[in-house]
Parts: sequence; C-alpha cells; structure tokens
Amino acid sequence: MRTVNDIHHIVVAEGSPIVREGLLQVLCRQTSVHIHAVAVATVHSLYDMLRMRPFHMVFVSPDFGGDFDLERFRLEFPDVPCVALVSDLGQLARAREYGAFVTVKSDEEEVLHLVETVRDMRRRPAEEEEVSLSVREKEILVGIARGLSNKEIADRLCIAVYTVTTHRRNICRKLNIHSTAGLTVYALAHGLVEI
Amino acid sequence: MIGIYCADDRMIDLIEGNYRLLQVMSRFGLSLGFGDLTVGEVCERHGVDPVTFLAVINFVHSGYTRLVDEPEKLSVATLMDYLRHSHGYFLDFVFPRIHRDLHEAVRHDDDKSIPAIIHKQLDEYILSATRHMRHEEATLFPYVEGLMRGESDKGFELSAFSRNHVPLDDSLRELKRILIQYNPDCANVNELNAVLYQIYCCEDELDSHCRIEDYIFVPAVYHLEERLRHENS
Repeated sequence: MRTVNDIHHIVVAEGSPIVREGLLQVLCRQTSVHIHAVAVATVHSLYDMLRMRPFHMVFVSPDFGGDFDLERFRLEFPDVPCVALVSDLGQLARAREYGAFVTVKSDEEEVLHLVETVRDMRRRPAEEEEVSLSVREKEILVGIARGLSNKEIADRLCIAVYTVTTHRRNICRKLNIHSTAGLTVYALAHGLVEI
Repeated sequence: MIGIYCADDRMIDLIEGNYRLLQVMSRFGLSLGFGDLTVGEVCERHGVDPVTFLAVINFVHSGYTRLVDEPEKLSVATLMDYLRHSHGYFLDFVFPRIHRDLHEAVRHDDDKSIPAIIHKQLDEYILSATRHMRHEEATLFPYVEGLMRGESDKGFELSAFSRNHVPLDDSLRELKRILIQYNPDCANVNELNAVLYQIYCCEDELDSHCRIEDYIFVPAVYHLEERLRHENS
C-alpha cells in the first residue's frame, strides 16, 4: 500500500506539447511508482515551482528556455536529479552533461527504470526487507492488539520501552500498516489474538 | 489551444466533456441551471474570477499536469473561497455520509470486534481530517487574508507550510484495505461495496483538493508575497 511518502514528484520542462504530453502520459501511467508529474512552460515557472515545494526529479529539454543553464540549476538545486529530455540529435552532445537522458525513441521501461533508480536512492536499505515478523515482533503485535501501552508491553516482556517502540516501528514498516486499529485487525485476522 | 477550456466555451460542454468538473464548479459556488451560458457569463453572474476558475478547471481536466503560466494573475480571494467551500463539502457532507452509510453496511454489537475497530478507525480519521482543515482555516487563511489587505506576517512561512503539507488520506487507505481484505461476515455486501466506492471517490477528491492547494493556491500566494515585498522595499 502506498503512503504519502511514496509519492514521487516530477517536473517536466519541455516546450513541445507533443513531447511533453507524451512523457507526462508515460509517467502518469506507471503503476509501480506513484508519480505526481506536472509540466512547466518557462524557466521562471520551473525555478518558482522548485523553490516553493520539494520535487524529486526534473526532466528538462536542453533547449528549454532557449538554452537551458544546467550549471545554474545544479547550483540552486543540487539535490534534484536533472534528466535531459532529448527530442533531436542536435541535443545529444549537451545531454551527456546531464549524466542521464531519455530520447523520444526511449521506451517506457527505460523511463521507468530511471524514475525507479532515483526513487530507490531516496529510500533507506531497510525498506527492502521481507514482510515476515519475528517471534518478538509477533509478541509485541499481540500486546498492541490487546490495547496495552508500550510500557505495559515492555513490563510483560521484560524488555525496555525503547525496544518496544523500535520493534513497533519495524512492524509498521514491514506490514505497511501504521494505525493501532489496522495492526489490531491484522493480528485478529491472522489468528494472533482472539476477540 | 487544444485540450484547454476558455471563457467562450459553454459551461454545459465543459461538464459534458468531463463530468468530474461538476465538483470543481460547485466548489466555486456556481450553481446548476445555467442553460446555454458560456463559462465567462456564468462566472460573471456569480462574481467568480473566470481566469482563476479556468486555471483550476484546466489543471484538473489535464490530470493535474497543466500548471498556470502566470500565477500572479490569479485571484487569491476566489481561490480562498474555493478552498473554504471544499472544506465544507468534506466536513459537512462527504464524511457524515460515509459515516452513516458505513454504520448501515457494517453493524457491530461487540466493542472488541473487527466492525467496531473499523468504525473507530473511521471516526479517528474524520477527527484528524477535521483538525487538519480547521488548522488551515485558523493559520493559513488568516495569513493570506492579511496579505490581501497589504499586511505581511513574519511569523508565518508559506514555504514551510508548503514543504510540510501532505495529503490526509493514508489512514483512509488503511481503512479501505481493512474493509477489502478483512471483510466482516456480518457486512451487507451491496451496502459495503457502495461505501467502499464512496471512500475511493473521497480519496480522489481529497487528492484533487491537495493538488489544487499545492500547485495553484500556493504559487498564487507566493506571488502575492513577492508583490508585497517589492512594494514595501
């Protein structure tokens, strides 16, 4: 289940409506990454938008605004990956300065691979672990489902409260369930507790 | 321009072209029964700025990709009215209706049962969403009203609000997941499906509301701030 933190915010800065709308369609159709993509028409709008809210990557034509100033962009937004969007051969030489580029001949998998790579760089390695809960995590989940506080769970299991909160955080991340109600229903549905 | 609605288009063509725009229209305070009037004429009749109305309409119609080129030309007052109406729509209509219909679809006798947990989850979500929206009305809206009067409040940072502004709907998604994956046997199937559909629609509408706040309202307010700063320097 996606959470708000899984939303990947992208800006597309391209003057040609055919190229721009085509890329937006490809991005918004993706199902493996939750993408919010918007298009800007001017360099001024691009800078305004990035100053107002965080974006995770930008697809920009090397010709955007006449001749896109990549150095100025990287100076102001060093943490925002910038991918060149190439629509003619004349742009290829400049596109190589970007480190990554897509062309109008790129297929959807190439675009998705780039987006996933940038997304995965944002995530912590621990998020890739398996879903199965350890014995201790199940014990703590039972305590949560029974309505016990973290301190009560810690006392019953003879462990520190800090340990309970750490396990609880891991449980939420593994199951992708963040509410007490959701964890309780999970425990009930999997027979860990009975009503 | 292709794919863009303009003031000379008939309002009926706009709605027929994309029925989801009905909700946007109503949140600008525009009522039905407009006959063959154009977008411009309907807006004039209701005192709504047509440029702002069309900016939101075209943003929603484009799938939230088409941004406004000149946010400084938008009417912040019209956008504030839109957001107030939108809050009222969720708090006074959508959430109570989901609450009522969920209780009809999933009844419970035991406070510890899954249905009881589901109802509690919904109640907590509604409370959280109400707090979120009321907080915006108590902090962001007065700040923007002050800007419109030419006053700037150095205690409020629009950029911080924008960075921390996240959609509400995570726990609503969890509620939906519980209903789908752990469907209580006592639930009435048709009623439950209908409520689930309402929750899906509510999620979409909340997402739409947040995107309009982030990509239309905030840039318009940002430009208002810039203009004030320039005038006061």
